[in-house]
Amino acid sequence: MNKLLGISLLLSVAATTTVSAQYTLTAGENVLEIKGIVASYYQYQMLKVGQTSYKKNNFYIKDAQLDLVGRHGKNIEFELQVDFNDLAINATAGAGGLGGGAAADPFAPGVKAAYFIYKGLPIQIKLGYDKLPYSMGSMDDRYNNSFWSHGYLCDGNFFARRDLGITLSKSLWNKRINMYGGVYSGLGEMVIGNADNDASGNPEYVGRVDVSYPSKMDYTEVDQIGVPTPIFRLGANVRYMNKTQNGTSTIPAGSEGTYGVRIVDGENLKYGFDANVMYKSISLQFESDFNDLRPSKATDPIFEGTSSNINHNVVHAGGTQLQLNYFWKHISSVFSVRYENINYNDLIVGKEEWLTIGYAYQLNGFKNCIKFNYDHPLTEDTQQDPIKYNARFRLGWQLTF
Amino acid sequence: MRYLIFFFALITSIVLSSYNYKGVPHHKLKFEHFIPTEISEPSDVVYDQETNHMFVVSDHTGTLYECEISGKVIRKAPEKGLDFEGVEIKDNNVFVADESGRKVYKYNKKDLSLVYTYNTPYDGPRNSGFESLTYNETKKCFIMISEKNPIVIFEMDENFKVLKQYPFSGVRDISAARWYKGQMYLLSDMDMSIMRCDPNTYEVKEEYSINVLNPEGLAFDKNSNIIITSDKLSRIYYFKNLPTNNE
Repeated sequence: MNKLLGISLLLSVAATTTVSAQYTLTAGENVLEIKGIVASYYQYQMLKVGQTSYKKNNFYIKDAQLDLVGRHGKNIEFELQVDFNDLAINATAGAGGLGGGAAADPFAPGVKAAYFIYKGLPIQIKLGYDKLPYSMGSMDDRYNNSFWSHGYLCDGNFFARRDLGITLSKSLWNKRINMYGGVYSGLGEMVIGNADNDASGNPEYVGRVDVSYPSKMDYTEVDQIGVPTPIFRLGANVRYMNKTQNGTSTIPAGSEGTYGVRIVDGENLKYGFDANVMYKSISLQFESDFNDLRPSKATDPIFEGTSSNINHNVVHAGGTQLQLNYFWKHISSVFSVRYENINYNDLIVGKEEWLTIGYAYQLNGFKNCIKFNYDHPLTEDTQQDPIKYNARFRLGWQLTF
Repeated sequence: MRYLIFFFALITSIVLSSYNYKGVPHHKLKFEHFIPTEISEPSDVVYDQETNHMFVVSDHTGTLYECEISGKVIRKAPEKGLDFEGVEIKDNNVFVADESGRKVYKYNKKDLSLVYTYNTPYDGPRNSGFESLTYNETKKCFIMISEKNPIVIFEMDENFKVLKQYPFSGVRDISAARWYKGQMYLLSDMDMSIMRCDPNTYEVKEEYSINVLNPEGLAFDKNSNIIITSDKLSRIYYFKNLPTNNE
């Protein structure tokens, strides 16, 4: 704990400049913007009695990203975003590797965006790899709030956040109404490493509609303006894929995720609702997400050995997230608190509840800020997600350029 | 517990040390009325004394519009850009700043035909380029201001070549600028305020808070009443003239 205190003092002394610089090159109607983000934090876990490994008390690189965003002519835009930290971890993972035997993370392949958009038609077309239009908590930009991570509900364990495919979108009423529809591989982030689809070859279909009033609303969680009029947005989204495997085929190893609910061999229906409201520097977000999973085989491990009389051939999972933020302009500070309630499998007794407190001190908005997070499990799901600590602190510095 | 107290004390000391009082007269303005406009995302406005009309630009459509003072669109320029953010009238021309396109378009005021296109390169963030354009009659030069990160006031000649630069701080962004009766007025979107500045040094003399969401355009009519465009709401707001006499 003393280490964390020392680091906090160092950061408060070191972070005295308002560094910020992105670079834009133009050539006729072609524009290329070069930007990126570097962020690191120190993590300290207050371990439970009996736990003896302190290896997670360490410095971590959160982001080492380079982002190229551009426009080609009037109608084509593109983005290429890479996280070098993820690339390095995956390149050195595995036994004998520099990563000390750590496993590669198929859900953080290093490429975060690689797509282009065509804007020359009434409907906008995006082709490539990017965030999916599903879940406000996933679509919101993590760098523009006081937390180091997305909530557990939206961090990629419950559903894939990114995938390769095509997205059609249309905005109406001065962008107050936004509609998205797309077809994707269904493998999520794993499609980068897997290259091919699974043996079923079936895609995933994703749709989302959101409505904001009285003006359009960006995908951001903190009201840094202090909007004089209440603004809100309501959103609903759904996604479906049938990944039923033929013969002896199986879904790609690991694609089911930590809790087995990302993809199952069978039908995967996911849906959710979200809301965001902002007024005078206070903002509140709410989101609920649900997974209805229908494995094709009665022996699927997600059934936990239950008979069809009990499970009715379906597994439900779901969760709720509630977040409150306050931006105190005069002291350049953002205070946030997030509550989450998640059940990863209704056939297993138990759920987990989390309370996360976030604070960000802005040296230059979120472009240059110090973040402090306190993570506390209110209720532990001892069967599905045993936790080794009572609380976790993260203190670090985020800088975009 | 003592650790939490320490953290609380540390954070308190950091945030209190950042408190910055500008020390200039501050006023609160309330709008008289507003009208919705058919122009999507109006990002700047300038008043034409000669015709009692307004010229409005949109960053959504990349189009220059001429409107009646009531906001009704009369006509629009056939030649479009990408991201129109600033507009100014000088002589018989209308100048328009294209922020992400890094250009200034010169339109003939009579028929809104495109006369000339100037390149105005700026190396900063794509969407934090030149969002403000006005003509400083005091110093006989154009003014273009980078929106944020950082805010820099550029004095430019009639060919939009940079003459001099002035770093500007104290607000988080600048979304519009207007020279009016010997004063330079700057508008901040994120801080929802108008600043009256010295037209020679750009030192802030007075600040006016406005209760308008996403204000991006600033103009004065023939009676010195203030006109503000709200980008996100697609509205034009009308204020009475400023509460104090200018120096």
